[in-house]
Amino acid sequence: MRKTDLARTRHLLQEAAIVGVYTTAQGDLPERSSDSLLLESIEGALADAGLSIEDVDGIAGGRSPTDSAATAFPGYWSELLGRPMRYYSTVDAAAAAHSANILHAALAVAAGLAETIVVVGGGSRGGSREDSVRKMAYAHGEFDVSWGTLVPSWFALAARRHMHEFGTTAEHLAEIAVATRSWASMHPQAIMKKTLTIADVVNSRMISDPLHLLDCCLSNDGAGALVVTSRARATDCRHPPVQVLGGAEDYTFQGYVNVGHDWLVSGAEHCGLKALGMAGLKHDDIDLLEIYDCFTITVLRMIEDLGFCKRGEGGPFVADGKLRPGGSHPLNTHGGGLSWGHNFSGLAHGIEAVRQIRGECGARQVPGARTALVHSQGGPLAMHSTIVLAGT
Amino acid sequence: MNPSDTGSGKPLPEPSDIALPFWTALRAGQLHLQQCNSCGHFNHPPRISCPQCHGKAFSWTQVAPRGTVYSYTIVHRAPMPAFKADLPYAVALVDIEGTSVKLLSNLLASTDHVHVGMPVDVVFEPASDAITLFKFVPAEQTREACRAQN
Repeated sequence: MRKTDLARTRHLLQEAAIVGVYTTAQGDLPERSSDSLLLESIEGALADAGLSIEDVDGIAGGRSPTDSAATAFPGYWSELLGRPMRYYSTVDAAAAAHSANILHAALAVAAGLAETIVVVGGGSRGGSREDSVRKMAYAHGEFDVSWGTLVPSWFALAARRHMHEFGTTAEHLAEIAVATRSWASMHPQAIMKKTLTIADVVNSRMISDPLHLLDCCLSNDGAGALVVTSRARATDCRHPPVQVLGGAEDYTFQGYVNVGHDWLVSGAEHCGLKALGMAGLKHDDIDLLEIYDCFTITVLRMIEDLGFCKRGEGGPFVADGKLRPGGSHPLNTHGGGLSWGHNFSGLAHGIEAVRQIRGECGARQVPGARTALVHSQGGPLAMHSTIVLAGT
Repeated sequence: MNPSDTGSGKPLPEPSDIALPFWTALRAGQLHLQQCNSCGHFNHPPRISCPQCHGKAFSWTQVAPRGTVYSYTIVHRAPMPAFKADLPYAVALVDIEGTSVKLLSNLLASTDHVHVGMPVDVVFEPASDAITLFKFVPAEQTREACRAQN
């Protein structure tokens, strides 16, 4: 894309703003249905913005990895909210959907398709924990159903090759879990708050070698939402608006189906550069990294692929603690999917970026945070969307 | 698709129409891959259009049943009860010799000895009347077994 085209899109995006965010409780919530969690999120995010259901004319539904039925039908939302939706969209790209949904919502508002769009995700897992594991055991069927793989196995394959190629260690990966937990320890809503050491991670139960239990994200009930509205409407809202400065997507191959690709590269390279280029920012201009973290290796790879360090250097890059509180590259400051909660992760990362940019994060606030790169990934390293957010 | 369970409780693939030749060849103890008639590109999984040249005509080509481990994982947590007895077990991603294709399957080897770059052979394992699975074994193991038989 030419520079002038990127500038044109950036200019268009300035007609929209993020004005409200909300997250429900996270954890085991067997008494809560997906519908009630999603509705609470929509109403909560609107209240945060100083808006009401009467203002909503669009829904963008991020798909939860484990529960998508409740967000599948636009008419459902029209009926539940008691008013017709004039915009409905959901990017069907698993956890890569969320940044893309925010980007599309901002562009839709900017283009006048709707005035106020709620981006929503999450829900209830339903069923037992064993059901959840089994449901995620095989994604495609024909070519992976018989080998006893877990979702972690697929990311373990990426991790093992990275270790072989570049000398990345289990301790390098563990640093990501440790840094993330430090942030979670300061978030009242986080599921896992007890701080960790590298030894805790590498000595935790092996799930799919080289990924240990603490290299893997949580699995829980919960939901969240984010409100995008027009620049004109944003001026009446409760909080200073947060802008989408740039965004990009890349869907290169079918995860869990096509295993023939180069496992050391991903479409995040394209996404990151384009989103930053659109935003008119350089890597050093980014104050916060909010990177979807289903596994520690996901973050390590995305840090490389998004261009924060060179390919293969992710291990040494993170090892000095720069992702931890006080470090130069604050990562997943809510605690991420690894420690805060994983259900609509990706949207949760975007919500946290908004809260940080507004400066309302209390103990975990990154001083002076103005810009964030939010990256969503659909596994294994197959689908990507990136947005760059900034305060106004 | 809904994978069908075997007697062991481990799910088996239900071959898609387009991939049926792949599964049929396995039953005959051969590894066949879809190859583009126009540019020669090997496709896996098989497709209706070649991603390299957009050709629409394909053949099924017999390839050497061997390769090299590109990456692997040792599974310590079974996705379902039927796999528990096998723990820990190896799943390997293998570059199939002479092709651009990687295949994923179990590597039947001592988990301590599995490594990237390990040469492996494909073995054919009947799992039901309709389905023969492909798995990997260390290449030297196959050779030793042949020597023992002679």
